[in-house]
Amino acid sequence: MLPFIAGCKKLIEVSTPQNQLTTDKVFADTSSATAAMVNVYAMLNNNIDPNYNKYMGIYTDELNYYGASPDAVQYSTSKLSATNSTNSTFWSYCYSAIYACNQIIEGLTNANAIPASTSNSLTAEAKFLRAYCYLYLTTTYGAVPLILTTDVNQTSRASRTDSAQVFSQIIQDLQSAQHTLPETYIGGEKTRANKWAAIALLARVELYQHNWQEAETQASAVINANQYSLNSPSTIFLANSNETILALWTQYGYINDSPNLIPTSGVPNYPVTQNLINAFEPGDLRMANWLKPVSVSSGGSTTVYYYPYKYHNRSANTAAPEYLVVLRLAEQYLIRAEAFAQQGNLPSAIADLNTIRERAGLNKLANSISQTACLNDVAQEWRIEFAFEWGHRFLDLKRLGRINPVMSNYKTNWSPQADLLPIPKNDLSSDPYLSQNSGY
Amino acid sequence: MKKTILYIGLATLCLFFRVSAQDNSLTNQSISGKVTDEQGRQLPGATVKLKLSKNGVVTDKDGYFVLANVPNTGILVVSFIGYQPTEVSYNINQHKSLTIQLKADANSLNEVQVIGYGTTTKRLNTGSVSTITASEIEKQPVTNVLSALSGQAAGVFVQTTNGLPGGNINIQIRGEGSITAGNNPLYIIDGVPFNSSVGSLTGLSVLSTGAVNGQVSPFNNLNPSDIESISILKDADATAIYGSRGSNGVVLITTKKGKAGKTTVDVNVNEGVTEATNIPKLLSPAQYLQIQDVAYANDGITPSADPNSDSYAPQLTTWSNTKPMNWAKYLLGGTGHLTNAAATVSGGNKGTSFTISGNYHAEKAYLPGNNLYDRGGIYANLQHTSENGKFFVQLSHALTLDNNSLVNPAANISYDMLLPPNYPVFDGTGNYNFYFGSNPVAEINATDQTHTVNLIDNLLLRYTILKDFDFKISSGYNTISVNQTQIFPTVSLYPGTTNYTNFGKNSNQSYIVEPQFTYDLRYKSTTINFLAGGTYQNTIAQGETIIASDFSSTELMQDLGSAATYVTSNNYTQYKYVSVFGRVTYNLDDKYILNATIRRDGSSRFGPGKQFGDFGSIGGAWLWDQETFIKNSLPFISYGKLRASYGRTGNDQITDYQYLSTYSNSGYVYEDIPGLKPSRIANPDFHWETTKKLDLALELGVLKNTILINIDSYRDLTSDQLVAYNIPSITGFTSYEANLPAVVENSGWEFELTTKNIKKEKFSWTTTFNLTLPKNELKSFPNLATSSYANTLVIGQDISRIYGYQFDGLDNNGLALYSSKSGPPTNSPNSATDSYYTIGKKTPDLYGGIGNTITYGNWGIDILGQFVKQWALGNLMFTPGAEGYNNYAITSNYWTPAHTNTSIPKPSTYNDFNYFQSSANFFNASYFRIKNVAISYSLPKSWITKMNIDQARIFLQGENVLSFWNRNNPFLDPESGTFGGTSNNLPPVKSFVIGIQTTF
Repeated sequence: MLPFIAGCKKLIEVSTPQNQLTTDKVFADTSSATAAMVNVYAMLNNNIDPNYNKYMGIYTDELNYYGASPDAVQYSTSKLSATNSTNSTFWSYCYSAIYACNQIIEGLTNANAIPASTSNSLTAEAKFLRAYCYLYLTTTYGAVPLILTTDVNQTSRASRTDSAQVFSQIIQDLQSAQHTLPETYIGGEKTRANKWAAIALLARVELYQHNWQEAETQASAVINANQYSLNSPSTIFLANSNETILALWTQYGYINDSPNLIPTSGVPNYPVTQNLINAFEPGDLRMANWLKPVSVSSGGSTTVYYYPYKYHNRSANTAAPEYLVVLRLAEQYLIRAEAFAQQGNLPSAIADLNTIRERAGLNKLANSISQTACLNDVAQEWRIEFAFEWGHRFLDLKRLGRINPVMSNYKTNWSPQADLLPIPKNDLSSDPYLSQNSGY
Repeated sequence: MKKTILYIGLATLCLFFRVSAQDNSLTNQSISGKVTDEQGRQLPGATVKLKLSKNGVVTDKDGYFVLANVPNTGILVVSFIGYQPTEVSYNINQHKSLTIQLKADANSLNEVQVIGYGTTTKRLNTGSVSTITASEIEKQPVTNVLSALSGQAAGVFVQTTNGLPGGNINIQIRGEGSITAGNNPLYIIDGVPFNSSVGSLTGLSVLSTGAVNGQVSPFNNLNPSDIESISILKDADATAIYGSRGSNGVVLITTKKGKAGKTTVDVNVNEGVTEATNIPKLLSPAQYLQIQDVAYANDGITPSADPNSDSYAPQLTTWSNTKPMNWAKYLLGGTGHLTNAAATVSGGNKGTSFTISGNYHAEKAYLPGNNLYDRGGIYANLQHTSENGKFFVQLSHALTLDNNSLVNPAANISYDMLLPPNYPVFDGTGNYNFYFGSNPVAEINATDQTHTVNLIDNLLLRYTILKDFDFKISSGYNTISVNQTQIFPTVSLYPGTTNYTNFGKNSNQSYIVEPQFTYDLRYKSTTINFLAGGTYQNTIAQGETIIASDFSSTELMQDLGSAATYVTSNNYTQYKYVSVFGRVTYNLDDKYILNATIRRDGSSRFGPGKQFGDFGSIGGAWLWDQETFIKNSLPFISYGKLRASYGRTGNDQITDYQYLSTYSNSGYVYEDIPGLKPSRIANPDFHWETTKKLDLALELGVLKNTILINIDSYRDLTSDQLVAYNIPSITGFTSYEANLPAVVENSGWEFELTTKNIKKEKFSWTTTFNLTLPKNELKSFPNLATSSYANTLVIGQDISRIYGYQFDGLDNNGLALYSSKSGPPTNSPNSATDSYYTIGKKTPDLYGGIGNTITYGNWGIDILGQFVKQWALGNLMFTPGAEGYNNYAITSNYWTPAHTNTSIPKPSTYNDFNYFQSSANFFNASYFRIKNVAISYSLPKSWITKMNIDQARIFLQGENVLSFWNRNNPFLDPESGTFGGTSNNLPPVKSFVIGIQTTF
């Protein structure tokens, strides 16, 4: 009987579907493993950023929203429902990307057909991107399930992991990545993480964790590497600019969200708030380069609206392609400035701030300011320099402990619990081990 | 019952003793003779047995037999399926050669009934099987042979879901057991499993647009006149031999075989007309305009003629009312055409017989435009038996080509027919008017061409190794390929839309090999039949689609090179299936029958370790009419059987490869590398869905079987439901294939009644009636409340439950009110809170059919009616006046301050979407339909023999002739089974044909 059964098993062996690859085959050669890896970067541009950046701009004080989409309206009132589909899309795409990273890390563990150097470097890239996703998840939702495996039997009943533990995993991944990734860029363009990208992101994570000394060390490493230099504000977002440490490749030279942010005519979908416009100091080159006015006439009167204009291309542009910047040198100066200021090293902090200010055509700061004033100046530079980039405003306000005072001053109905977004309802109902954030 | 068990036990024991009966009068003499039917035609294969002995032979190909070693005098028992068993006494000295005539058994109990891997008779069957034969099929002018099943059998619910030529037919045997896996029966044509879908699980459409062409049935490719019989296997006893695929019932289709004898030619030509069974009743043009006026007045809006104004209402201000249009009539009111021609040649000699037929069928739909469905095919069957009768070979081959041309494949019937009666075809500038987003006259310029090639080949070899010990190998090959081109030129599309063409190709190739051994053991009045066999099946489905757009010229829209952009995709799946099966049938004296089946199946649809499953059943029958005490005390009972069966079957109707973790193209390109994304998370743990079936039945014939009654009670419990189970997105996916612990019960009663009201030589009248009372209930579902089925399913209710808002009448302003669980009735219920109620279910309350067959001299009349008692969601999509659309006639009964006794809200330009999701849009969809009327006249023999014609018959047939239902209810047709709002399924076809059939 046994040989018969064994024979039967052979009889029902089927060839794999031709338009799908089984997971083991993906990791049987370098090119398919690479295709799986780069797709995670593509997700950041196509799925994650468009469901986060502009919405968090509306959620805070960067952008207005005058439309009627119920999901977007919830962001503009800073009161999200747990069923908000933008929020759940962002959440689930982050976890899709994490699944893809975990799969790559697991798949490469036993991938004998791939050269060890390639395999190690792909694993490090996966860890880098996993860290990036977890950084956004934990800063947005607080404690989140820390998923480090593809085993659905474990992951489908995961519970939330304390934010500190998530951060320590992020740091562990980034430290591992920075030791393995090459200093050069793998594909020749600055669109896949290298060693400096891992260090730059680690600098940010240490800053978010208030590890000022570590943040200063990592940021200095990037700045002193002399691989990158500051561009003029008008050229930062062009493909492979000198300032770019890591950007996301675009097929046609424009970022996924541009057609939403840049209007063809009429009132922009997401006009810049007056509050942010007012925050620009007179003569700031960034105002002229990064905000674009549009005049709209209605009923005899004309209103001027500004819309985000860091990225100029809203359709194919092969002459001057733009990539979605993830990490750039300016951030390292601000990280180091904040770390210096927090440690009381005001002259160094002011020097770094001035580097950024001078590039923007602004005056140098006086050397005689207090630590509080210096930290205020750091916050001001974060706000202007990183407006409409990857939801920086929300993350920076939270890290600086300013979210509640600033936001309740700006939006009268701001609730202190709004500093965390709700865990999507769908996940709560299919995983009984998950709990909701308070206030939702 | 105890006595029965005792008998069976004793009889079984007897087998183990080698009892050698000695008959002293045994001689070396033999008796010979021939067996014929009443007309004197020889009957090969009849059994001739010496009464109360093992000694027996089978008649040869010419009906002759020689039975050796017989005593001088004795009694011969002669039996043959389809004939009454006869006992003849003989005396060797007087009779050297006997001629034994068998009377055809008019009572259907002894007719051959095809079952899984064998045949039996209705009398001896232990399972629940309904059979429809060629004579019932040929009376119906159907395109799709499955339509002919409608109303014919209890427990079989047939829905014509679409009135297009070749529209899909949905068959459900004893209800829906699966929540999400397929509920289709297993179809087997001459032993070859036939895929009821090509390319997808749901229907034969390469490019499913959800529109009128949505679902086309692959069964169109079977020519109804080539079919000998269709058996529908329902209970565990009948289906367990198909193991993992038997849960939803099995439909066995057997084609016609050649018969030895004179070569005959049969020609059948008929021609007819068709139309839709129903054209929905809409508001008259005057009522439409009046309601629009009231709607604008109620909303306080003055209709404007200015296209730039918010209150622009061209239907009230600018459009001409001189030539109003009934769009429902335009779309559905046409007349179609039907032509059918078939010719069969059959015949053969002693060892070899054949049948070859060719057929052509053409049908024009009742839709506007140049629609044509035509089909041609050939069918051939060849049989040969070797001289010594030990070897038998049979080859059958069926090839069908069909071609379906359809205009306006994207027709959105449900909306288009509600366009305003004064909706102009052209706008002021002479272009097609698309103000409401569509224009049926413009959309006719879009076309769909579907070519299908279907080939079914079947080879059967049988060799009798020893007496009563046969080896048989049955192998089959089926390939069906579909080639579809849908062309949408600019003129057929909303202005500004880019033209495009969809090209699709799908094919499905399947082969199967089934070796089988059968052995019949006979001892005295005990017969034991053994069957052992195996199956190997391999199916490959593949397809590709290309959506090409932006063609430079309308004329070149079939030229891929002329398209500016195109998107391509392809798919490939392989399915393999292997099994071993066995069956033992124990028959004691044709009185006590026990039947046990077992099957072990392996399917490639499941992951390693979960591929194999065991299935089986046990069934028994007690023919109590044979008991002496019944014969003595209840002489009017001519047939009585009690049968019961219990067993386990499975369902593997899920898509292939669900257990594999896979990657596929993501559609994104990064650094010029096409991205690969994880496309499925693996759950290697899911396994068969199983159904435990219990069936109890009483079969009864009284007054020499003038009345035959069949009562079945069944209960099927389906567990381990295969579903796409929702998982939290933190896993990286939102669902995976898994077994739910839910249990669904399908239970019910089935009644079948046949009465021979009049049976005289010149005049006979038979009535058949069947009724099914189905019940479906979700028995248990652990953690239902937290599952993704929390909204759709309720424990204790039907799984086809319809839910929505509870309509609570109209308020003082004529607006609809809906019940709320958290407060007083409201105009704006909230689905997020708990305002959903159970409105009804899709399972019908009851269904059945009634048929009458009358013959009078050369005349024959058949009438078959079908009925269903059910409620369903109506097709209302607009509250009166809303969005400028026309509406069903019932909305003329709208609320006004003076007329408050109604459930139709007051007219308004705003649509109350909640209304259609509520119980207000729930209507009685019960109907009684005369499915079929056939009148035929056979020309008198005296006329035709002069012309060398054996038989000639003129006939008039009608399908879906008359329907009785409440036509005020807003349905396209109550039969389609797809209800509610945006259903685009066309009403079935009503057809009348006239034809002639001659046999030379």
